[in-house]
Amino acid sequence: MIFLRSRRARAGLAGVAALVAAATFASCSSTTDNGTSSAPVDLGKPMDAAAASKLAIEKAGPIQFATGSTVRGVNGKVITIGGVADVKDSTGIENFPGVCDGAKARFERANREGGVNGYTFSYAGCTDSGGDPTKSKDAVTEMVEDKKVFGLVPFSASVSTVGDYLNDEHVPYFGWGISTDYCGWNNRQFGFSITQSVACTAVLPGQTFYSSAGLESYLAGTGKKPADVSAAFVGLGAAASENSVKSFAKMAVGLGMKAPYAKSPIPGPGAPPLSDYTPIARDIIASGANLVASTTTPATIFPLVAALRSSGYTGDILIYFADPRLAPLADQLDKVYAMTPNFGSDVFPSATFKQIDADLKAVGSQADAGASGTLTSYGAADLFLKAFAKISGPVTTEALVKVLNSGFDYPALGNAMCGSTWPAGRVLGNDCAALVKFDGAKKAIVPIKDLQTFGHEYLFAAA
Amino acid sequence: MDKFFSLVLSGGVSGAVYSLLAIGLVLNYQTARIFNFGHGATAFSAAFLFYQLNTGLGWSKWAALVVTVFLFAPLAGLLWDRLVFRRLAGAGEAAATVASVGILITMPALVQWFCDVLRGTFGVGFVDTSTAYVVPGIGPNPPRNFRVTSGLVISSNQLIALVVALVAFLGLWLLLRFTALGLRMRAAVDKPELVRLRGTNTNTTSGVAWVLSFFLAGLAGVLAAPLPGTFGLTGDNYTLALFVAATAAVIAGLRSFPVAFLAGLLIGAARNLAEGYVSGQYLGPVGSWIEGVYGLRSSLPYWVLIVALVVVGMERRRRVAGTSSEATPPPDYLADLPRWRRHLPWVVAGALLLIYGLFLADSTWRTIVLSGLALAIVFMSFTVVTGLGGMVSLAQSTFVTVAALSAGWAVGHGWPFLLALLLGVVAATAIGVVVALPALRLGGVALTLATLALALLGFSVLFNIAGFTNGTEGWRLAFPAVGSLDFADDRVMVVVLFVLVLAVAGIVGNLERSAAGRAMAAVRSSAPGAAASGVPLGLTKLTIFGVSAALAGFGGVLLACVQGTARGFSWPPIMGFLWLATVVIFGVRRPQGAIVAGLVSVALPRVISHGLHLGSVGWSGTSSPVVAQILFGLGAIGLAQQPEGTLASVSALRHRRRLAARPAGVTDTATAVMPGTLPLGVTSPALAAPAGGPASAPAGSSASPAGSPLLELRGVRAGYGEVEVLHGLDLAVAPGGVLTLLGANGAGKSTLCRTVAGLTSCGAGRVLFRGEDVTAAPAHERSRMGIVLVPESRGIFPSLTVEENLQLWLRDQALRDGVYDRFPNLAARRGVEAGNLSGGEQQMLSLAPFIARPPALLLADEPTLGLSVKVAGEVLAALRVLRDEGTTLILVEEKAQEVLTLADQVGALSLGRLQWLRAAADLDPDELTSAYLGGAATV
Repeated sequence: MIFLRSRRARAGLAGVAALVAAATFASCSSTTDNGTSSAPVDLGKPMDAAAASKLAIEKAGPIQFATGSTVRGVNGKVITIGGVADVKDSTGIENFPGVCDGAKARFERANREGGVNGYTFSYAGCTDSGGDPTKSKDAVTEMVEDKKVFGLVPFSASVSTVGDYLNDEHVPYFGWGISTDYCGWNNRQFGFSITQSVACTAVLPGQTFYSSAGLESYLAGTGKKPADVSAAFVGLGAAASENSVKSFAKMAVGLGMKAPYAKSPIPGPGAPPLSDYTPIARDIIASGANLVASTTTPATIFPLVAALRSSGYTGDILIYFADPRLAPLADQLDKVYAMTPNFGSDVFPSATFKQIDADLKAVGSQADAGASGTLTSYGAADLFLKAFAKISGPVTTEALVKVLNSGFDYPALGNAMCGSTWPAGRVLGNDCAALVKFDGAKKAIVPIKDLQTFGHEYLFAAA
Repeated sequence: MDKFFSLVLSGGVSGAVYSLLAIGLVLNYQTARIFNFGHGATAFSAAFLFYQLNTGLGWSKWAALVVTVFLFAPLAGLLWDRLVFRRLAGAGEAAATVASVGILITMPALVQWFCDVLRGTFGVGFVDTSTAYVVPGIGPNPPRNFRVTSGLVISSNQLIALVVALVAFLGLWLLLRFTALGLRMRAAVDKPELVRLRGTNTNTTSGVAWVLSFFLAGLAGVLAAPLPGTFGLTGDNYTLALFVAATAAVIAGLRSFPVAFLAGLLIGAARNLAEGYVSGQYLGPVGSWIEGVYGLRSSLPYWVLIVALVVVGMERRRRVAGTSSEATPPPDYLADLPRWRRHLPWVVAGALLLIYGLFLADSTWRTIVLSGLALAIVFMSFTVVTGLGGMVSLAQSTFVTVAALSAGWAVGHGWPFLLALLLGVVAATAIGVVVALPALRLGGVALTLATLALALLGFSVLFNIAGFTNGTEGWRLAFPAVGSLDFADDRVMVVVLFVLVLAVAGIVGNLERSAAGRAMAAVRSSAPGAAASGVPLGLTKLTIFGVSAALAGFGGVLLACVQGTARGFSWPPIMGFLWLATVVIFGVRRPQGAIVAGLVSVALPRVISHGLHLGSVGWSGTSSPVVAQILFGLGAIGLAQQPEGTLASVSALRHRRRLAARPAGVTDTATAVMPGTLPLGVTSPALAAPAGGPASAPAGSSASPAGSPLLELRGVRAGYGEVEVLHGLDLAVAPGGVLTLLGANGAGKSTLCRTVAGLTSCGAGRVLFRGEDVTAAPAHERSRMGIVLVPESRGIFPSLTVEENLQLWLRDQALRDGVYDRFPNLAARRGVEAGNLSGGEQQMLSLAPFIARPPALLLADEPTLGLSVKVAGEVLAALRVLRDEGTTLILVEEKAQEVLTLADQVGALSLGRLQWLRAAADLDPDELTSAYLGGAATV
């Protein structure tokens, strides 16, 4: 029903930031439909992406490739693509401007450049799933059965239950991993999240991957030594957030920092919002922290920051999202560091962002090249095209996904989008991020560290 | 200690918005007897509009404030009153709740849609609000901080909210307690008909009440918006805050403004104390445990709400003389049809649905049919608890979620499907019993709020337990394959669900006729009577809640199977509101209403978003989500016209068509025996003419006074609905003197009084007062002209004090003092609520004001009913005084010798006609006897 107004279902900047934050540090692990390896693993030790990838595949086992010859959406030399994404949430607010435009822009550019291997792409439109599982199911069914698309690019519906359907029907889907339909291994081999695994839980029994990219980007960006940092981690009163907070604290300690505060005092979904953040601020200051890292929703960041500052806190604050639309509010977030996980920020101008901008204008879109919706959608299309280019033999959906699932490295898209490795990307998160800072005086977001890999993967026992 | 004080003070100040909202809730209840669930949504709409005008269009904050709070909000209140609430007075709690849910859903949608349309069509510069985390208010922006002591910083926005809340509470308190307008508003809500008889236009008071209430909400919205995190421009925050404010309002008993104000501040402080002290550090292992359970600490206000509801208890038992039936059953418009004709439309519709679902629908629409059928079962739980039990329950979404999650958990752990389904139903029933336990002692609004509090607790605590909900992923649920029947096949499920819906509808329909159903009906119409008859009140309520929860759980598991998953947040409490409202709009008393509601609520959004195409004609739908919400608001307006729901409107329409089609003259079965109409001005000789007695004289001829009559009725026909009670009554009453009208039950005495007073309108005929035609004049106007009715059930306002009761008629303190001199009993009880007086005292109170300021004409309907001989004598003495002061009296009695001693003229009413009228001196004892016995027999 369209009246689904629960706050978790509203994947505004709100819900997504929380998910993304929790997820940057909690990579999906594989399903164990072919048994886990029982090799002993060093819990709590840092691994780089390659080692983590190797470990993930060891644990999950090689993918059992789907067989078949699905040519839905292949009409001669024209491939039909459609998209389903949350354009507006259930209250009509547009949270991801550009989420449909990005993919279309990228496909049109491919067409202008002569197509890929002689194939051009017909974009059949992008339906709004509106944050509603029924709507997303309807939209997906319509795309597959009525419009007969080859694949869904983007598929970025925050609340959806179409994973089984898409995989049963052998429909490849690429997009932002905010939907749990990307979580899985063999049973989700047709899904590719451009941000790799986001908030998949309960896949590796008893263990979860976390990434220290946030903390290490802060260290790199400020030049501080871990020993000088005493970090407070603040989360939402919900299971996923609580786990993240505790794991960050462990990672911080592992890096050499102190972690005197790791709690989730902010009311989670369903509970009435706090009217006063002073008690939390007091507790944090009393713990002696000089870095406050919060994975909570944007709406609660503002009062938290205000309460901290007015209670006399002089340390640093780190948050996990930096939407360009927050720039005018920079005075409320003065001197707050923000880490953009998985994709970059256009406060680092580059040829890549210029290209994205040009492509958007070419399809008549007003969307911002640096917005999260645009970037993930554009990146998803880019991943699709790069994989498509490597198909040898007849073009079928199974062939496309096999290219990715048998081992594929997607390089970073300039400084706009992080790279990903497949199939491990279905299990791991990204260690890749950019660091920016809010400048109140300039009312702008200023660059600190451009998109790069920070940090390492850690495997923790799930709390 | 420093920490303690700074937490209390800081929290207290932050609670000012809760206070403001709570004051609004108390105002609504005191002036309209409605708990306004939409109050928060109105505040949000005002905040949204303010933001758009101020930030979007760049208006100055004062201009935006004036337009939003002084124009938009009061206008909205006026419209809602006119279109909805005015017509809903006395329509029952379910309809009133749904109307306020209508506000909850429609107001934000309307404002957003309005801005969208203006932006899209006219390019007006409204802005996207998705990053409006920091909303400038009327205070300085960015807000200034005042350091009160070390560790206590108050922002300018908080300070403004506090000051305004204080001013608001003082202003309202003064208005309602100390002004004449406030008194009339409170009286209007206590007994609307009586206050009209005392000269107050209830349309005006109702309008003022809602305008004030919306004004307050608008003010609260503009003040709350700049408080980020707590409010901002997230609509949900306002409704959640409203629930917290509800706690403060309940602590105030929904009566006291000062207490509501203080309670709001206290709740802010209490939340801070909970945040600051409930932890392992201060409370040891218990504190750690509480901290560890998600949502437990932050849902403190909901706990307090439940405790407050049970402890404060808002529905005070009050003695009201006369009979009072709580819930009259709805008229059965189809009673005159044979059984097959009643059920035929439904059979046809059902067959069509089945054919459509099986053969004609595509897979999307088949899923819609399945969802609609599963939802129909859920909605029938409303039919049980609200339609049959008369209790408005907002916890149905909790039952659905509990059942779906339990079944999902079971399936996830390998249980067979049927066993999982059973577990779900049992779990839901258990929760239903838990919800019912506080309900046993509560009624009305308190009961509804208790169910709401429990639903909120369930949502924020129970459905956050990761093991129960399987985290954010939820459980997968699907229909099983049993043997050769693959229930996962949609077509098979259509048949299965259809059969299940019919079965459940049959059960629910039969429930009304069962022992439990009859017990519930007894409790609804008179709780003391039911208790006295040995109906176990508590057990009955528990049974109803249990059955309702079981049904909701059953439907919930089916619904989850159709949708594919069960998540902790799939059915939030707000959805429970929506479900309730949808069912009530279609009709909550019969299972058919629930079934139609279920199907429509799934089909309608689909139609709106995808359009509808029938052949070549079609509409391609709209992507705006607010359209459905606005339609819903229209549904609420429709509900106001017909509180029994849309289906009842349809039945009523058919009924009226059937009546119109019948030959004229057979409209009232009651008078089928009587001959046709009589010429004007002649009393009916009829069967009452006693043989051998003095010839009946035309009305007004005996003891006829000189000059024109004070009151004249000419050929008056009046009644209720289709039943005519007065059949062409003629009466003329001369000024001065006492007319006593006798008549048995059913003769039309009360109808006559009501018609003269203006409460019941005439179907035909005229009423003249002092020669002026007042037939069309409403009751409050007639009262001001000098026609006063003291009705049968004592003309007093039970929840107003004795002093306040007098004040309604006697503005002058000197006059009231005169009353106290004359009636020392009343003087001794000046401050007592009139409902707590004895029957005799109440009757004296109802007559006393008129002795001080006599009206021209006073009608008293059974003035000595239920009084002891001594007290009756006092009443008669009072009536004598009135007569001596020049008031014309019309006393209507069933049987009382004493009244005859007062009368100058005596008349007999029988079967809606005036049988005879003569001077008291000319009374014949035989005539008198026949009047007592029922007027028809000749002795």
